Amino acid sequence: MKSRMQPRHYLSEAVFERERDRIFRRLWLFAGLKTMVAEHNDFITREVAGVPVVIQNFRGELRAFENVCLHRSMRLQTAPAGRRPLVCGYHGWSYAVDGSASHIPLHDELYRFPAAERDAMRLRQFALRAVGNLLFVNLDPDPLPITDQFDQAFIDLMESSSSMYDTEVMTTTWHTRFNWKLGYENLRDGNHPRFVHPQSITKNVVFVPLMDEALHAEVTPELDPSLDRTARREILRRFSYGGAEGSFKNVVRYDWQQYVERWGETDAYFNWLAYPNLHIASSDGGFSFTIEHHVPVAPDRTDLEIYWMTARKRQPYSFSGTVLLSLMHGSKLVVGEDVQVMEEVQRGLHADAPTPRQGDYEGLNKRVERWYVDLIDGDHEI
Amino acid sequence: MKSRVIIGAGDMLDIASHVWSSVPGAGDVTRREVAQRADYSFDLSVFDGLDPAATALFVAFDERFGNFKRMELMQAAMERGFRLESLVSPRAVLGGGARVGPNAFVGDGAVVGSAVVIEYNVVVHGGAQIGHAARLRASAWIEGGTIVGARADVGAHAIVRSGAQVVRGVRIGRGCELGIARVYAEEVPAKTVFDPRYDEPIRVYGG
Repeated sequence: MKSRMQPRHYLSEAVFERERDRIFRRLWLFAGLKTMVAEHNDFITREVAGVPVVIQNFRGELRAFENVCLHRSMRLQTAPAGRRPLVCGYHGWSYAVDGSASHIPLHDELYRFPAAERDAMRLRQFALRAVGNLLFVNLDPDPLPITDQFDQAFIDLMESSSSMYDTEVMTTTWHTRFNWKLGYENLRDGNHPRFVHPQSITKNVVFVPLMDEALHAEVTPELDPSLDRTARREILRRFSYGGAEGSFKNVVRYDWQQYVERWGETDAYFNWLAYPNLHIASSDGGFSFTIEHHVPVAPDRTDLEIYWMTARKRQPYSFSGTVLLSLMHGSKLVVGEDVQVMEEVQRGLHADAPTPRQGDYEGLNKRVERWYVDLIDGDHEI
Repeated sequence: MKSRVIIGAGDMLDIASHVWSSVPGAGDVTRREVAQRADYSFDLSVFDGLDPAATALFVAFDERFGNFKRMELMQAAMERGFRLESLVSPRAVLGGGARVGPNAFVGDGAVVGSAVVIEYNVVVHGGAQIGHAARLRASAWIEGGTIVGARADVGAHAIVRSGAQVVRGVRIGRGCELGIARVYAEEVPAKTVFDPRYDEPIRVYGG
């Protein structure tokens, strides 16, 4: 059958803006790791749907604020992560845990805000949730319950595995040239690894494409237009799932693995897919974890943030950073193969490009697509 | 006189063998190539039959796995009672007061300033320039065509690749890799990697 997705969904600025409003400013989005903001004054900055956000530790309390000073709109924290009080570098305004300007240098001499005005000045605060070691932020002033986006079993699985991440985290960002949706579509396509990764991951991991007749029957008809918000959120909850997806031809062990507390005891390739743009994997059965975060920048540009952690160390060992770098270079190869394909797909797209044809095995993507098209092209909201 | 033996593999074994053989009046150098198994462990039977008391030993291995494989081989030698030599090419220039540690290597045409400290297991390749009083910490790897400024401090296991220039007095953290040919004028935090295949530096947080 023909896909519901049209080339404009990957090319149009208008669609991209609508996605920001209807998806990225409504859903819970990955924002970083709790271990990176574990101490007083630790912070992470990021841009979420065009909004600069800072997550800051105030004596153990984590808060997410708009990372913009109320005085002259300077970004309060400028580094990607670090340890520094929430103070503007422009005129020295300091902010407290409630977002108020707790100290304005020379206030009485130069600013003289009336008390009522000063009391009302607050940084815009965003909802923040920790699921194990994973931080999620939501820009919506009235955010949906996180359990409306992810089912409890999936939350429990993310919590269990991420709680085992070590505190040493290696990270980088790739600037890619494809639409963010190609990322999750590729990850939900179990037939791509044998063709895209024959020289890398499928040498030792077997992925079997899903042929789910019940899913096929569910997603073939159009979405019932009379569905209410509860029913639509029930569909949304099914987009995210996790567990063992691939089996090993040979179980390979490395010396460093003796120094970490493995998550579980299953020799399998684990994937966690959290809609809309988060992918977590453990390619070695719980000894190490990678996070791939597809951050939309423009219709044809996505920043791909890559994180690597081993499972929690039993004891420090001198070459732990080198282990992470080896893992990072491994994903440069494997994810690099995915990126190359997705960038070629993006290059092939144009306004009159043919509508993609989908097979029966592509039910996971069809399930997302009919909901997405209904949301973006229709009048519904999440 | 002790017999001279180099244990190692690859280009580094060739380079060190050429340099040691060219030291005037030092006699023959025996090369022993070490094998690695599928799990990357060394076949340490390469040490069999060598008498630590009668052998001047040098370990020559490249920078793979953050210079930890070369260190692993060096430690295996020390555990067996070998005393490791330092190896400075007669075609290198060493300033007054420069110190070179055990199993450290300075290649042809390297220019090492006065009072430089080169700690154990460091490799300074031919053509590198190391400024006055710089410190190269243990197991660092400095490629040819690099300039390490005076009083700069290069951390243990760091890798400085061709074309990198470390400005005077700048500290490069432990385990960093300066793989992009550019000027490094500010401190680089430990384990930061500049790799031309990546769009942004690779950074490490926590520990």
